Amino acid sequence: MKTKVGVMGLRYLIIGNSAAGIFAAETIRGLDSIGKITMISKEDCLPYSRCLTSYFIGKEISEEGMYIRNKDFYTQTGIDFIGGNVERVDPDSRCVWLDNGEKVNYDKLLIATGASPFSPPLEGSDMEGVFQLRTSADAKAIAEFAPKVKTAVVMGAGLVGLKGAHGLHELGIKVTVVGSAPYLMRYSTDPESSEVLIKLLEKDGYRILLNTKAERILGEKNSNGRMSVSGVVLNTGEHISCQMVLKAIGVRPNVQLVEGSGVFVNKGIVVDDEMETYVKDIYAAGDVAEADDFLTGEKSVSALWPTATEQGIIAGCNMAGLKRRYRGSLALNSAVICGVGLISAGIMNLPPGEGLVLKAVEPKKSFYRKFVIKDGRLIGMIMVGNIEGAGILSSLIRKKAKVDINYLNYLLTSPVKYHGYFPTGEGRE
Amino acid sequence: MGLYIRPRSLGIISKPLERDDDLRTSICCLCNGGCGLKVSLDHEGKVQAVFGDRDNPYNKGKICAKPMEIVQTLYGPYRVGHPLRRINGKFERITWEEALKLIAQRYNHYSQENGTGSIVGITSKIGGSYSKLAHSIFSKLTGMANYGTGPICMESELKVRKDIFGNGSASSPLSDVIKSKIMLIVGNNCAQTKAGQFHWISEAKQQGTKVVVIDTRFTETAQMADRFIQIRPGTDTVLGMALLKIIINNNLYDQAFVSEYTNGFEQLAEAVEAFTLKQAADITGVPRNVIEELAEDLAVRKPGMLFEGRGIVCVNNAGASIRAFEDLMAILGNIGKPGAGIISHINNYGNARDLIPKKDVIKPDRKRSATALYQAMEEGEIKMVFIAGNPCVNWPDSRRMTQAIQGLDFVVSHTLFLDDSAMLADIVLPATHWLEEAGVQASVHRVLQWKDQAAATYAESRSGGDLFRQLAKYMGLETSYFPNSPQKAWELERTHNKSIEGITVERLRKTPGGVHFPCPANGQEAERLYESSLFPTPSGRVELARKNNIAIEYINVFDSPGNQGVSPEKYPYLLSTNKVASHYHTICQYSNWAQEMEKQPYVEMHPQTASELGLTDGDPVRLETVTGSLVLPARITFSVPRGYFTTQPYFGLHSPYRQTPVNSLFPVAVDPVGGNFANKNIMCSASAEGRAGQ
Amino acid sequence: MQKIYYRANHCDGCQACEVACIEKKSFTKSLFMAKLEQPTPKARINFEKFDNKYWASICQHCIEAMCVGACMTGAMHYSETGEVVHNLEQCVGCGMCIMVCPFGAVVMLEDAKKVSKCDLCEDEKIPPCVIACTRRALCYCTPEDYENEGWGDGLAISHHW
Repeated sequence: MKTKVGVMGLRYLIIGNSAAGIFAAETIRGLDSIGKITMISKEDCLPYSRCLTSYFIGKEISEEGMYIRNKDFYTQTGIDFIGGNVERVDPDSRCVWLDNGEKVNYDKLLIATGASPFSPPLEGSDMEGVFQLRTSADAKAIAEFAPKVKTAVVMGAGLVGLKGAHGLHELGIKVTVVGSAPYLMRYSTDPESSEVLIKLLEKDGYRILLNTKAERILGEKNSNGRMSVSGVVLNTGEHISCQMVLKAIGVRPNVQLVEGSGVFVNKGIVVDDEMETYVKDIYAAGDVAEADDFLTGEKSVSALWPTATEQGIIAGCNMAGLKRRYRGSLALNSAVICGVGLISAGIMNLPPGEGLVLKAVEPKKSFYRKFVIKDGRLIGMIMVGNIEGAGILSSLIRKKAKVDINYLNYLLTSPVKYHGYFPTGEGRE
Repeated sequence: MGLYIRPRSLGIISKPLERDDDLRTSICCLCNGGCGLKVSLDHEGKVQAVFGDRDNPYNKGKICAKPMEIVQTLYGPYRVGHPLRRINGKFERITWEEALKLIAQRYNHYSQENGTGSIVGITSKIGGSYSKLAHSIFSKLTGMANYGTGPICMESELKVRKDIFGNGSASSPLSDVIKSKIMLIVGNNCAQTKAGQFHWISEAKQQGTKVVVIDTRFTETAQMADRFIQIRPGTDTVLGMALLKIIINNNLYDQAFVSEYTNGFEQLAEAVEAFTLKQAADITGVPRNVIEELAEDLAVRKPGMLFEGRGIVCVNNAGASIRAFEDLMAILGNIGKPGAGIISHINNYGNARDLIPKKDVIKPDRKRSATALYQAMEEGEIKMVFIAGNPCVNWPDSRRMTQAIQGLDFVVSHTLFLDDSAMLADIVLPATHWLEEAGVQASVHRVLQWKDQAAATYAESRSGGDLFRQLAKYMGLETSYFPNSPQKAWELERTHNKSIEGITVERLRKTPGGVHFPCPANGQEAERLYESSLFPTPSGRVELARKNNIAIEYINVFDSPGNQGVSPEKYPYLLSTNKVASHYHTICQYSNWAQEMEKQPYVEMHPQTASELGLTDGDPVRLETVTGSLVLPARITFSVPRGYFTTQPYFGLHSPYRQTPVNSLFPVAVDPVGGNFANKNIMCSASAEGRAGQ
Repeated sequence: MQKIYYRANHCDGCQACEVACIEKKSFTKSLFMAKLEQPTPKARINFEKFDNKYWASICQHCIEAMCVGACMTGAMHYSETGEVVHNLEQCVGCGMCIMVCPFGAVVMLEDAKKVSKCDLCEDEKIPPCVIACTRRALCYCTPEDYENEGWGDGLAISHHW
């Protein structure tokens, strides 16, 4: 199906074995059947999905369920896997150095190291019972600790925080979500949809505290002599008693390894539209990369699974010699909260006075839809409730096509279905 | 795409002609429905049209296609008008005297040389009450064993119901359905085939009776039902058991009735544990919530009625299914009350007793089951057969039946038409049509209705009543036992049968719609059976379990008689026959109207099945079972499930259709419990038949 | 690889495709029981009437499928022959595929908390929806056949890269 391109015998090196790395490796293998692909990762295990860690905590899936590829993946794809930590990239001699002193040469390098959880320093963060949720190891640690927990505080009301909270809630733990933002999932909702979701969550027994910060984690000595979490003090002065704290404030790209290599780092590793960094033959993709934003055209880091896979594919293509341009990352988010789907895309919140916003809300049915239109084009949307057909709208955003406002008004309350064309008022799209 | 239903012949309401100076009243004798008819005669006294009789309280003027089709058959080219004798392979006209003399001579010869068991009668449609009585007297005097419609129609139903309630007849009249709260119709397309009765169900539905139809096919009846439950072929037993299970486990049954009037409840409760509800749902293809809802409906909506059709009776595991559903009605206490009970076309009013002194009664020297009949004919044990009907078309494995009859020494056919069976006869005798004969007709409401002779007898045809009396004379038997008119026959029958003693011809003539039986000498008619909760079983109670203490035993349709040992790889599909209104009996094929309504037999199949076979609508398809194969045009419809074929039975080679009878595809196999031949759910294979020009 | 193509100019909006799909995807395999089933089976083909025009959208088994990239569980993947296959066991119903599918061809099975889409009915020679379509608005063929018959606009093949 995929045509071969005449780049042969190259040594590809991929650092990181998550979304971007895996898709890049598969793309390379599809284009170049003889090139040598090496993959290095800190996590010496099969590729798994970080997005599924919360499902694992909630026992909705097994440990095997987190793996996104089967156990023969490396051999089938022909990847030499090295479990290790890359310390330094040396573009001049085209090699990377592992922390055990080993050297791995490359012709094309992809940095797909992802991001790490980040949180401002907080008193008591080193206690037993304070967790973060990123890797499967984190998830396993939480799952192991969870039976001792009756109540938990999740710091951060973003997607990771809510998913983590959901996982704990599934185990019967009473969860309080503490978010500093004025509404839930700041980057993928708006105040109204957040309102709908909060109602759902509170009905299910979650406690949601917004515009709130945790000031301090309280602890007490447990039976094995270590300090263990006993509560959290909020900036409102409230004291919440709990046995677990899950920190899910945000992530930072893992860029330490390129320090001093000449690879330009802003927030993440800055790449061009071929996913190549400012250093030749070094590519970056996924959460670590800072690529063009689809709508604004500005460089930005987008820590989303679909973005990572798309960037991985583009990087893979370009590494294997097939020139493909990245069209820019579009903010896309999907979450299922208390059985109600939420999908958002593009720019959800415009400054007042700009553009046009269409909204439909039915709080009783947990239904909410919002379309953001600018210059006659759809640039953002939120769907809560019936999410089927969301892809049609997100592709509409991607197409930057002019869309008839009446048509969008119709879609506001009707099931979104593909018609073969979108009414634009200018004939067929 | 094809059709979801067959749209034809839905609720035909006939209207009498304006000029009705020669309009006679009659009763339809075709399906034991007992619909009142008006027969319009032309100036020659020939029947020119048949309508529904609006004054008849049972069918209220509504009739189906079959009696109307009769008009063309009565004087049509296929009708036999004179006795015929086969000489050198050709039929030659002879006189009645010659014919009767010959038959009497051969009869006596075989009877003396080979024993009474060497002569059998296959008499599916012998005529009205007059002919039936004469036939039974003749049989008693000569020891002739007879095979009626039982094994091809209702044997299982009769036997199982008799086991349970002590009487095989319908417990309630169909008119009771208006009083019922729920009407369960199982395997019965009465909207199509019983238009004269179906209006009761429509009326009931309008009054709030919930009509639930359980069927494999989406029929016309299903279309009007409140709830249609499509069930996988041959799994009715499991559905019945699941319903019983829910009702027993949740104590929804009529506990007073069960403890006072039934036996075998424990065995029943034990038997229904054979399946979990999930298993039942998996087997039947009916979602669990639907089964539960139906069980609840049945428990809450009382009284309720049950109307079983051939779809559950003429199946190779019928006995268990019928028992499951009838036990269900019993434990719900839906018996012997207005608006409760079981509707059926079985309406046995019993046989006349002691008509003939014991000294003159000869018993057949051999007894054979219906399945053993084939072998006995093939092995020459049977020398002569008296046919009134068309076994070469309507008995299973028709080819084998045809060959067996062909191999006999002497065959007599008393028939309306030169049909497939008559063509094999040595002597063909012209029979009267039921319109040409007076008599009593029993009907689905368990009533007896009198009909006068509506039309003059055609040519030289004679009724069975006359035939047997005259034959007895030629055979040197005592003729004084035989009545010589329909009225006298009824009088004789009535006085020798306690259950109808109070029903005189005069009373029948005076009472529109007839008289319910049993009606003993005191004249008290019984509209409903078991109202006194007295059951004519040996124990006097309802027998919920079989005599072997096993209440219900489900037999997988693929392991049922006829399918046992058949390779599912070679025969992956199931074949059934289902009657349509216009071709309900074998005689229908001789009517032009019937041909207009259903041009030819066809085989219905699901589009996906058709696609598997590479067929489009109308393409010829070859169906093959272990007993043979034949080609029929395909009709593609969503109304049948996948992997299932259904076609119309009762077409013959010696008819305008020139069609190999589809019954030749059905093996001689009977339901082990009930004894019915299976003409449904036989494993078959199918393939596209090469089209001309390809 | 064969897939289902929709030709709008042949469609008369009878929705038999949807019906056939529901029947096929139902537990009972019965059109008549499907509506009584819990959960109610959903068609994998999305029929829509808009502007007096009909359209049936169905999984296009894209060469580079957005849903495969978006799927965070690996449930969406390509088969050996190139179809986009969805493994129901791996699916957690996160809705990522719904979020990106430009045809709206992925449906949510609310009760199972999973999604599903057209799987071309692998156990069938020809998918039931195609059989049900008497006007041949749905074609089950290879992209090459589709273009060779002159039904397409040349894009079906050129999308290979």
